[in-house]
Amino acid sequence: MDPLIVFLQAVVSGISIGCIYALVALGFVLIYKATEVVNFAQGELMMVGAFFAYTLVDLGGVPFVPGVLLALLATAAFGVILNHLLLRPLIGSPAFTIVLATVAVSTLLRAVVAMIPGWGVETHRLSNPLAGQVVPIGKLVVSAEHLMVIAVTVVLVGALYLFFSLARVGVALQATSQNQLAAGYSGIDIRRMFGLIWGISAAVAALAGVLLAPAAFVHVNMGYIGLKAFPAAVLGGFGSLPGAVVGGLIIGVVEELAGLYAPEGVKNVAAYVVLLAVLMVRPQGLFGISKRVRV
Amino acid sequence: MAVLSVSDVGISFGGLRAVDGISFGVEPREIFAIIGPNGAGKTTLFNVISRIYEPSTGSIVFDGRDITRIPPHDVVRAGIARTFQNINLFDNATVLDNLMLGRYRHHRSGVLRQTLFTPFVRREKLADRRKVEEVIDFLELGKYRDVLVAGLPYGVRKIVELGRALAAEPRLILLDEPSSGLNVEETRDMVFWIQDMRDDLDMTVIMIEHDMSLVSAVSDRVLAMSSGRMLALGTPGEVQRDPGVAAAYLGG
Repeated sequence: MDPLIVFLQAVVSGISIGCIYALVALGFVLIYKATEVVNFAQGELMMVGAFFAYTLVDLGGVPFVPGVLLALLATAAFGVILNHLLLRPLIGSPAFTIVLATVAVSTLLRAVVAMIPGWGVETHRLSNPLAGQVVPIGKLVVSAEHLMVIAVTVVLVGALYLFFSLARVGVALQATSQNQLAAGYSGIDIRRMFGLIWGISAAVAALAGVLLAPAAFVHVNMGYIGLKAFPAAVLGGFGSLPGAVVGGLIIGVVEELAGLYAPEGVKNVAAYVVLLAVLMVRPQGLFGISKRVRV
Repeated sequence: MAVLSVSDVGISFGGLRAVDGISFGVEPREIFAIIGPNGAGKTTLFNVISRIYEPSTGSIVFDGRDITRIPPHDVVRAGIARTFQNINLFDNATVLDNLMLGRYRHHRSGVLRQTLFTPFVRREKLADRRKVEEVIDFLELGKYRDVLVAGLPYGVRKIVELGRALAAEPRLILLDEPSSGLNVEETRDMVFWIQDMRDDLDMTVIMIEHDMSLVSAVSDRVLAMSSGRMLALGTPGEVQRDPGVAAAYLGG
């Protein structure tokens, strides 16, 4: 096979997996920007979202698209409740306490999901209308699933952009992330904004779970993909939404190319090698703003 | 009738009585100054009025309504806006966007209408923009309209923060050290603006201020505080002549 085609094939599947890293990374960044908490349960929210979709579509017989939309709504509600029950009482605690609470939530979610009958620790397949279909583009052969992942990510990122720049609630969220005190005194209800951001972030994570399912199945440990998405978010500068997307894409593509050209095993560490290399040159990440704290 | 009545307000942090038994009333269209040495509890009192802190005793009534227990984001909805000693702005947004956020309390359209961008939302946005332009003209911020706040000099940011408070069209405005960090010329502008807020915008002003020339120039009445307690309350002249006030400042 033509080496150029092989290279391009790897790039396309890298972009596709990179989109999923990007979505999980977006979830990290959204919550961090608004609430200054790093939510280590982001990958588990994705896992819960994928299980919701599996339950509705494969166990409940709901058609794919409405089933997935319902699963996104359910995961959003789950995120709002999680914020309400576990994180709201911790407002005002040191950041470290809150971050550890999210670590506890992630462990707890894995344990609870493993105990639910029908979910358990088995691997499940989320049926998907595009399974097995391919789309030829010139000499390239691209799977329809990959194209769907890319298309859905583009649409979602566009929709988030419009929401944050135009809708009043989106602007209020941005204001909250920049200065909570000033936002509160402009009449913005900060607690409601925190709930909303957890809802949005959980829904984005669930979407990532649904998109990941064809490649990695639905499984209680699928949330460990968060370990790849986290470097993606850091790579992009952690406070930056476009940064999260670009970071995810870079890590996805580098991983696929490492799998193609580099010795066995390099693929698994490629994300961290890239991260370390970038941080050495730009400690604030690709899109980060370096802040000097006056002392 | 007083527009703001503070009755016997007190707050403790651990064993420290930061504010103790403060009572005063502010009349509509009055300019009311609060003075006192550092640590007197002036900003703490502001934070109690604007609901950052929960008072341990007393009550605050604004415009006939008890606001002692309302949530902080309802303070501006009630008609009270404020500025901060150490400036709280949205640094990564333009001056215009910062002022537009000051209009947030006036919005009536819900999320659905927002998303669909109905004519109602459009009209609301246009009305906001007109009001914000008035504030920009009033404070002569025109040349900074589209500049990011983070890059502006301190004095200008201070005025932008005042602008955001004015954009909310409050009935009562709380200014925490409006002249600190301003140069002589900017301070003179501040005197005129404070007077215009009362004369043209019908606002009541309460300010914490160290610059006694500014206090004497604009205030109707002055409250002097020390160690959380009231030392004196009266016209600027009366308060300045009060022996207790002089002693507090000189450490006697």
